[in-house]
Amino acid sequence: MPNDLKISGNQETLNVQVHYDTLELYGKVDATRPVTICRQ
Amino acid sequence: MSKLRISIAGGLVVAAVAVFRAQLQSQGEPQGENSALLRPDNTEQVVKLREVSALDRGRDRFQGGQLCVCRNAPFGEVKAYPEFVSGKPLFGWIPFDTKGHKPGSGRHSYSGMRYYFAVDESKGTGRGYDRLYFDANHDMDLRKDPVLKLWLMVAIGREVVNGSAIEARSRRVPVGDYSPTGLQIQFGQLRLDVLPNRYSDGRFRDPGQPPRIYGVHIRPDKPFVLDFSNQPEVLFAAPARDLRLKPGETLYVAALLVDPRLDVAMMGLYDQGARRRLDPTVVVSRLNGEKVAEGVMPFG
Repeated sequence: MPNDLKISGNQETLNVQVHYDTLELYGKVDATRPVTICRQ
Repeated sequence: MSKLRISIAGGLVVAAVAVFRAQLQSQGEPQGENSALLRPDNTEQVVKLREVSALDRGRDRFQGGQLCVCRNAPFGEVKAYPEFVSGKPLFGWIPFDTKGHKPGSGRHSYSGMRYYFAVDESKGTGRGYDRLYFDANHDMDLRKDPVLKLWLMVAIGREVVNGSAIEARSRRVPVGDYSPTGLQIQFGQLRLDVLPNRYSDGRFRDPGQPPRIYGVHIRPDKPFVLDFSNQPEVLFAAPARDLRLKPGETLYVAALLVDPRLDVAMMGLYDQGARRRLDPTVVVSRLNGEKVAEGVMPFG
């Protein structure tokens, strides 16, 4: 994560989204996983 | 939605546990420990076993495995064998390197620990060898180890060239339940590799373990359809659930697109029309949608 990332409060939840484009097989497929960024 | 008639360039593995390199040697008479490989006249005899089709094409990747010794008489150093169904069980041992390679001394400097096994015909004499007793705990008692079934490897394709099967639109395959070791599939503009799902709940599975699901079922006189109409899932290998990071620390993102019903992962997606890789993208954002970082996978 960037060193200069500003977070609100002592910790902040970010979403990590992965995106697949499988054309005509499944179309577009997305998934999200949250991660927590904390000051300490 | 998406049903594909099977179009395969790769290999399939039948339900099983252990791969034999079926270059087996046999002896007709019981021998002492030091003469286990040879007859009294120093000649060798080859056992007539037919489950070698994927292995007898020369030195390619289907020939992986370990050379073993096999004969039709028990070894005296084994304390006890199980009761066999077959009247002609096979007895053998296979050396495994249990200490790793000694630097600078060659590849097989330590490959000397013998693990004994026996192969039985569970349906009776002459019905085919299909049951393996393997002294996995190395206590010289083959009665105490779990019964294993043998792997059968089947290469699918027009022919094997330099270790790879050349694709074929259709092929007849022995009846059985299979798990793909590698398929390359073309579906419209899309080309993709289908591989066993090596992860489970974010953890790497033991590659020596058999597949969890045998999603390819070959039945007599019926074409097999590889069904991709199942809902795909994205399996995160990283980041771990509930991961906490500090600013400046590395966020690593790795995921797999899987078909949970077939228990396969879909990788190497490629748009043949646009001639570009379809690498999955990663976006890290705040809950309000503001992007913090982005890139392609593997990310971080």
